[in-house]
Amino acid sequence: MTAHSITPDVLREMFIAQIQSGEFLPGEVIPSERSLALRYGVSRQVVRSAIDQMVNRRQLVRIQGRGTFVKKPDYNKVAFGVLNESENASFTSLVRNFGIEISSKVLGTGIIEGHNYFAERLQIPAKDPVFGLHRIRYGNREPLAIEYTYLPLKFFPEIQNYNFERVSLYDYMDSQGHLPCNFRETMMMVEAGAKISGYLQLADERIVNRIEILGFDAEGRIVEYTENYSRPDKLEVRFVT
Amino acid sequence: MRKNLLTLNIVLAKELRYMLQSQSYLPGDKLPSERILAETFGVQRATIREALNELIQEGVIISEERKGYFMARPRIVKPVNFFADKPTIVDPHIKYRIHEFQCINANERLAGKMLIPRETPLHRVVRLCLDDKEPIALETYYMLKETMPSLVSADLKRHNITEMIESASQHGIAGNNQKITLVYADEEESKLLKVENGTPLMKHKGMVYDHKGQLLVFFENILRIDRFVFVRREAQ
Repeated sequence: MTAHSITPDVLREMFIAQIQSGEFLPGEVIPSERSLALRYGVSRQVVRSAIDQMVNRRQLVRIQGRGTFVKKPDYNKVAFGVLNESENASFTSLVRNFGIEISSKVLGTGIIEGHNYFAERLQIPAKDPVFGLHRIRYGNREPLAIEYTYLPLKFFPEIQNYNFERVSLYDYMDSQGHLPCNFRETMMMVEAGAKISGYLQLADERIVNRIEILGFDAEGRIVEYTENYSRPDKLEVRFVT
Repeated sequence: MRKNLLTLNIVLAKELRYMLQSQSYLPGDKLPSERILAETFGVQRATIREALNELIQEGVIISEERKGYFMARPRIVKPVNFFADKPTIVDPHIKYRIHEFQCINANERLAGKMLIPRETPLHRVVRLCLDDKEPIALETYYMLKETMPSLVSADLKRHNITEMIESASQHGIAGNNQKITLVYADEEESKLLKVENGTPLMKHKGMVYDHKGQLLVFFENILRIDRFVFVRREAQ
């Protein structure tokens, strides 16, 4: 296909194919008009027209002054997945009022290795690197939970290039062929330490839900270990079969 | 690149937990001193103390003034997909005491919760779970009299009440719906569980159904938060 034959319609189809293949993830910002024009060898006019069409069709979301983003599925609105973003997880903590808007703030990320605890949980050799992601999860800008997630880096070699404030971790894991679809979970209540109390803005009551999640992909490999601390007054823990 | 927050301090409590587990520390065992632990991990004493505090908050260890740190008793494991599991190992320290066993007619609240007509005859069972004579849970069960006509109090001392219900039901347990919330001890709960009025407790309530979708039991258990852990295993 030559550049001249790329109409806005064709470009839109190409974008959609790329979103479906996981090259652009829901919540991810798309490149600028200029760099897209260069990439596809088309005029900026064609790019703009294709993007406009996709914004009108709700496939992209334009946020003034921030850029254009791949639309996230609406499921976050029902918030079944404050814990692990997945319909499969049935030990799920539900936000009491549906319709709450969920967002995340990344506290930090990093790579660790040589720690026996994670090696044992993730069933990998201690020398294998582990990617850690620490996030606060908000509902309507109120802190609901703090989530410490650890993944074996070998399954997600490029994970450091993603911003998980915008991209759903599970969408990304899915795009790498390692979506957790089976879970082993433990739940208890514990007294929150100073750090967690601070993040969750706890007042007098210091008791929090502590949920540990081991996620297995379709092949039965452990792809995730998460510790989640949530406010019992905001989230309730449910189990349904 | 963001700030790398994953320093040793963050994972120290976990490494300490791993050490205790891999060196087979048992309940009541004394941990090495703060000084020795700080040397072992190559950190400051203040840092190791922070990690030890984390383990105290999780209930893994306890601290006794001027004596040191000791392994706590492990939490009692409650499988939430109990009917799919093999029977849980029976802990010889755990005993049950029947507090109440009577027939009642469903009031408005129970009728609403259990989706049954008002005045439906029910068994109401209240039992205390004791760990070495220390009360740790107050369990209340409601069962339809119709499905369990010959329930006797000896049955209610059994460990796993759902197992008992399953054997009594013609269809076996097929589904459940459970919720775990934070509550505060009321007067009766504080008396029976020997805790102060207003102590934070876990409320574990739920429904168990058979294969025909018939409700077998509605339960409301009040648990000491430091004594239980709920576990859900992955599907087979």
